[in-house]
Amino acid sequence: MSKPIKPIQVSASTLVNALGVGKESTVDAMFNSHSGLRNSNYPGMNFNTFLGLVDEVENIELEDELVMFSCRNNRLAKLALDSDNFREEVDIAITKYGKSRVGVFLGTSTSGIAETENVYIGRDEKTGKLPDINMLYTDNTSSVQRYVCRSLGVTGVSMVISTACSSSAKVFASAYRSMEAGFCDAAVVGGVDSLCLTTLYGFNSLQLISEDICQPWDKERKGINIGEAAGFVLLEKSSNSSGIHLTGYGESSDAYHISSPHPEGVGGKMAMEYALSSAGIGAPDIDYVNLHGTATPSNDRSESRGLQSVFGSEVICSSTKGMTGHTLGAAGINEAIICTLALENSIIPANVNLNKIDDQLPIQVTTKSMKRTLNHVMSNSFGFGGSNCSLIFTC
Amino acid sequence: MLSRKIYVNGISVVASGMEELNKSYEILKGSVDWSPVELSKMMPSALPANEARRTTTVIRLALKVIESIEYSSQTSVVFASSEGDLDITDKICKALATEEKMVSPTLFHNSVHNAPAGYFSIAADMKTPSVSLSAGDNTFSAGLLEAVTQVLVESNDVLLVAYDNVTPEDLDGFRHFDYPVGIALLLSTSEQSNTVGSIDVSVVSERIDVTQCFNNSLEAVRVGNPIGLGLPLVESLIKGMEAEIVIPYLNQNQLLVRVSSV
Repeated sequence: MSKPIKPIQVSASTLVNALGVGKESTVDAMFNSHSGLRNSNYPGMNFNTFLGLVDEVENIELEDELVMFSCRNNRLAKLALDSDNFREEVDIAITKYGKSRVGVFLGTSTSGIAETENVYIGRDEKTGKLPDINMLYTDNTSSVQRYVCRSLGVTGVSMVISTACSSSAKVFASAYRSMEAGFCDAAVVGGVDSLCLTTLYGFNSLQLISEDICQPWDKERKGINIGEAAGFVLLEKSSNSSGIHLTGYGESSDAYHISSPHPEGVGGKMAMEYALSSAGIGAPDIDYVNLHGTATPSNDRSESRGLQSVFGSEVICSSTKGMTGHTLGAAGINEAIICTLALENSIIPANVNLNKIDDQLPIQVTTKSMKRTLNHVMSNSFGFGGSNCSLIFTC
Repeated sequence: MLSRKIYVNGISVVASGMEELNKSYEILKGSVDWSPVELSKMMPSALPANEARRTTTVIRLALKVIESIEYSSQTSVVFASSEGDLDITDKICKALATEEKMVSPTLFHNSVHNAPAGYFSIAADMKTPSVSLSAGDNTFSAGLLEAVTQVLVESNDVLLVAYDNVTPEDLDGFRHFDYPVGIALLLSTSEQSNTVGSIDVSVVSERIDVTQCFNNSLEAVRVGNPIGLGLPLVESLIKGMEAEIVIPYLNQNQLLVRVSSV
């Protein structure tokens, strides 16, 4: 059991993914059930798959004084910081609390590793030497946090969480604790993960990538499509009960296998139960679950078992990875923001690309978007290493 | 504001020249000078042979530093590492620079920053939460702050495991560390028979002189690896001092750690 938490206000947010730049394009897909995935290529890739690419990242340049942070991951971060009026909202928080009282808690899995891949590809054949690279500012896991702090002008407590696909869900828990312990008054939480050869070839070597468009919960599902995304949320201690709040989080470890989920979804079940008890509500109170739903045979099976043991077959669910792809270290924030957009717009997004539901996964997955008033919604994020996190948002 | 007094109920350091527990303590107490000795292979005893074979030097360093600490099964864990596993980055990038681009599945699943956390949870059979984080050169401070925050807010025991290995040859010119270092601290809200001391951590923005190692010979380790920055805190706890330890932190801030003996 987890102790009940105090609701934390979601004051602002911004999102960039394969559906487009800014939250509006994701809202549009949530109403109209289209996918941002395309049969496309990434430089140096020699196999066929669908990708959730953000084309606009190619045209972004970092601020002159922050040019040493240049890499695809930080350009994607800037694209999101520049969208949805987010910088202005953070400026208001800086004025209210002071720049040293705004914390920054971000998630990523591969950071700017694409830069390191490129120096190995560009190795000098004669001398065997690698071209110069500023690893601390690009490759290092913490690069995006240093870039975002300086780009936003905040100097509060800060770190990067890297727990594979749960990274940018867990940032909410750490930010909550930091505010509660008095180390900051407001927090920018978020996640950024960008396309790179490491994840493309790595997941391909594990035979987890689908050649076709990914089909979460489908009988014929063949694996993931990798996507990229950046999202940020401004959290503040709540001064009123209106608006959207983070009301629960639950974290657990599978203690089962380094890259396979527990077959009975035991770790996922614990994370969902902890989230419910920290929100002080029961399973019947949840109106919608945004599934981790990666579309690998074993992941969806594990999550289904975990969900059934917590919710039975009562709750309506969908995976939005058929729209955005699996954005890995950014999946937590991508889907947390989708949950807040669901609450804001009274819409349950469809589980797209689903032709024939797997009868071994007997939970209610909707293939059509549903217009309805929502009160409590849950987002699941489960990662390699057995790292699980469930979040609850309330309107 | 919560009362921030937290008890330290276990300490471990593994670094070049500090692999053997008693010798490490002598160095940290200041009775023996530190000198560099290469670490052994450190095969983890707590893992099944199959899993142990798949571990890398970095994973073994993280598991080794936890080995001597006695924790309850309800303990949450904070893993803090600036670089994670650059040996794997090096191997994967070498593979990706070839025509075939054959990445080993084992290398890939070990490449995640939380690989040591995954192996630890399996070895200890613990389903409690763990977080794996980085803050570049200030990773020790960020890990300590996250661990302290978890103890204060969740009221459970938290094991901090901070570690960074040396860099493989091809990348050494871009991110050099002198020695591998691992530090573990078991933090708790309650004083127990094995309590070493207590700490109270705050973030300060005014510039105060950073505390250097009390054992001068250890300075090379403190400045030679981001995790080394935690050594003065460890020394003060082991020596049973009343002290104010200043550790560099991010964004021009510093951590002020008030250490009390029990």
